[in-house]
Amino acid sequence: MVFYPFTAIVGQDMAKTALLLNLVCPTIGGVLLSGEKGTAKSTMVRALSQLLPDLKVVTLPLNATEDRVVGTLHLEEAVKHGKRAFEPGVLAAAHGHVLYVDEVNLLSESLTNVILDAAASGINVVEREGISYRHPARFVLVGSMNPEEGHLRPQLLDRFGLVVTVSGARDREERIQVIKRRLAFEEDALAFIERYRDQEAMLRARLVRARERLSEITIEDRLLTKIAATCLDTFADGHRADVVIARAAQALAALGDRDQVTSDDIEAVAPMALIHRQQVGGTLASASGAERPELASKTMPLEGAEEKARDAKTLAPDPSDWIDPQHDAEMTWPAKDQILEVGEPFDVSAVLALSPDQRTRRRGSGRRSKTRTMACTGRYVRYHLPRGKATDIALDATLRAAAPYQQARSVPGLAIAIHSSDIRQKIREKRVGNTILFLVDASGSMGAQRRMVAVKGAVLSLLRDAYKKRDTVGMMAFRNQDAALLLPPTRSIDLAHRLLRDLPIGGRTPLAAGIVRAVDLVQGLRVKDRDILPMVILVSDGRANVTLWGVDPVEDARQAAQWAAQQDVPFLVIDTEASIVRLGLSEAMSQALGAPCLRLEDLRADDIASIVRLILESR
Amino acid sequence: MTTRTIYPFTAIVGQEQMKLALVLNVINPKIGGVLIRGEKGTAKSTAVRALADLLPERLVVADCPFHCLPEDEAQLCPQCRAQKGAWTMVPSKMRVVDLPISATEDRVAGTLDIEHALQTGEKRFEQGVLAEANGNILYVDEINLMDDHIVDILLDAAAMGVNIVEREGISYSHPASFCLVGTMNPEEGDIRPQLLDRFGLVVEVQGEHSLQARTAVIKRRLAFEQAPEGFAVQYQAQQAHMAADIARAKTLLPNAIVHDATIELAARIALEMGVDGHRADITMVKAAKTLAAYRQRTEVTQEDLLEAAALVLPHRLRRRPFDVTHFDQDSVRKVMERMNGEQG
Repeated sequence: MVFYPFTAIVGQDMAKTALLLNLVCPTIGGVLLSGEKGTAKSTMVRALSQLLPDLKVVTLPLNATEDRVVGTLHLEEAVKHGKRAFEPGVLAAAHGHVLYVDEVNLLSESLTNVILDAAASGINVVEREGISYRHPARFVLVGSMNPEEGHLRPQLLDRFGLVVTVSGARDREERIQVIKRRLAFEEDALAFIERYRDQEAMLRARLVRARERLSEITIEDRLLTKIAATCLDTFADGHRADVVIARAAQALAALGDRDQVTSDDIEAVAPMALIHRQQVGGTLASASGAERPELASKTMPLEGAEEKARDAKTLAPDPSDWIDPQHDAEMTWPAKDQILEVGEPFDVSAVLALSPDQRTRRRGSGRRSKTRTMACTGRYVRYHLPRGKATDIALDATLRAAAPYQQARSVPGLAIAIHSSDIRQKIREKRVGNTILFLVDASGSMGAQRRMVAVKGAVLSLLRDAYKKRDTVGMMAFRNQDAALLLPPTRSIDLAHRLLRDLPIGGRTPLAAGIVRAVDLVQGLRVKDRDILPMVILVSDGRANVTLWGVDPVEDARQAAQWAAQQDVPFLVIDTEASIVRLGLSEAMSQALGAPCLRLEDLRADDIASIVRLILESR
Repeated sequence: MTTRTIYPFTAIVGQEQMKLALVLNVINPKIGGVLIRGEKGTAKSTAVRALADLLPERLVVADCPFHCLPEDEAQLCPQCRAQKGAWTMVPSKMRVVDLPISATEDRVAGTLDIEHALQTGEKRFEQGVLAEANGNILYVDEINLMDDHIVDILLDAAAMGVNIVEREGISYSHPASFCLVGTMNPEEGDIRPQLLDRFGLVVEVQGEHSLQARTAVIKRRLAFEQAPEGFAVQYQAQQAHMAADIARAKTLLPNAIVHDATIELAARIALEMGVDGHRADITMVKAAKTLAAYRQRTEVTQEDLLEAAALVLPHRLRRRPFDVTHFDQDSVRKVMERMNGEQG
């Protein structure tokens, strides 16, 4: 392989430093590079292999299977000599080197666990396929990820000694340099590398010297106190941050060819060690978001919607002209349907977090949850003994199971004879997105006090979240006599957004019909694909005034809700009732549904995420 | 295998941007592929399949399972690298390799050769689609419907130009540098941002709106269906002409001269348009170079760069879902005018 030289990478000083520190002192615990696409993340990591004699960057591909990661039975040895020998895997290859996982946030759960185990203990313990083996596995774990594709588990995040957020250069001259060097490299890679030979050699010498010096670097007690104080100030969890900062500061001093750690060393490395450890449950995303407020403010995806809303405003009558439907159900409704603007969205990730027990045996390819799947699709990660007839045979594991017995079995023309007891079945993993059906009350009462504006804002937030998680989204609206499916469940969230923006309101509230229709739809989807994780989000004020079974509209709705609960269709109720005299109809509905109920105004509160998580976990 | 007559590339009515984007990638596969987005029935797949007829012939290492290109020294497979200088070379036509969205990961990345294992008791790598795609065009129809874990494999391979296999008892890696071409109908769902960014160029196609063009589409399609071979013969001269253009552009490309001002313009455009990362800047310059070569020039002009920007930038401006930012050529042109004004 030909690698782009490390010293030819323009800018990205923080990321480069973090990587070099780990080469000087591998016990720092690795680096995670997080950032937008096209910022030389993987180029940097791969270039490391040229910086130390015999250093390898061992890449772990996302589609690796467990047997290759931890190592397994040596097939040839077993077949030919009937011996159970160990064939080392990626963890063995990475010992003493760099283990690199690109897109680490997409790595399968079981592989992540295996790697975490080894990284924590420095030993890989193999107990499988009649093999019992252990070998040292100390490596520098380097990961890179694009947070747009989903977050990393806090547990894994904490395992990385340092975390650096990378972004593209904002300086024109730097950008020009990036283009020029990349083009030159692609034109003639070998000549380009030659041009950086001296710089690479200098850096290599510096690294080797720093490694030798590392053990001599001292750190004064007052500076240790400074480290501890810094960690206390940022509410860092545990003591890992303190230790990491001390080690990284020593490594930085060694790189600078100094005998002692200085206060500057500590200040330089502390941010990299603390960004991901700041608070309980803190994620990198929140840390980097806080770091770049200008980016966060740009994320409101509303330009188009606002324009539309401005147009709509001129059409809409003053909401105070509207009459509360509860007082006069027979009232004539404004002849013209209203289109109201979209309110401000907010972060709702936590609203849709599924409790862990729901996360088995589903399939799909969204990213809200990674789950095991029973169907023959998804990523093959490991195997097990089949229960009953095997449908998805793990050929490699089956061969390994049969291999040791080949001396005793013989079939002419075949080197390996397989008995039915050897058969192993694949375990596959797939990220599953929820199928979220928005059941939106589009009756006239939703227009009162411009409630629909806030509702659209709420639904839009959920849509944005759905987009990130690759959920399937559908939308159903109910008004007048019946409910209509506006958008059959789709991955095209843009469509849902457009429909929502242009959703007309007006008319009466057939709540019972809405619920029944939604449940029917979900049941239909379940027939098609038994693995889906459906959820209906009911957005309504609960003021039903159209009956389904001809008795009482509110009672009908309550019965429909009870029926929905029996059908095991999970609901989430967003109560939009905003008048001073609250009727609490939605709360009653949510009780009948056995579903959590959130008030629209609460959705804006800062601590909504934790409240919702509590609600969902208690279910 | 019987070869079905394919609809000639030059017989496709209109859709100039799409055709241009495809041709640029044939001339210079390092542009990084193209994603074609558009409604049903807009000749997306027809165009990609028609490309096969125009693909150039080049020398590859004989008997190399990955058909390594000798000129691309950075991308040789270990075996070819070891035998450097002792290669026999054979001419081979660049191909369009299909990746069906139903493909399983073992078929895409490659897997354990089970037959060999059963017969001999030894492990051997059985190559997948990515091995075949090395040095070729990899085509995925309906790429937005592809399973995430297959997309991950593509991302891994595209990032490094190498396919690393650590699965099913097999540990193997081989070069897999390919030009990725995807088609999709955005109504059926979107594509992951990370994958979107891997495409050098993106074009939006729409049905033709002029009556004349629509009539021509119907006429040609009917004529083709009636007598495919006869229809293809009519376009033989045009096809040969285009193939020659492509071949000439390929020889001109290494001599392309890019002035510093053009590179600065690329950087300025990227900064002012607020794109993520650096891939946009680099791709703009590469596409501009290729455009110049296609137009039989060695000097890359600022106009080339503006034209390239229209193919490179639109999908990179879209920072967030539902963000209705549109690429507009005028604002890019203004960046150029401002720069030239500053520099007098």
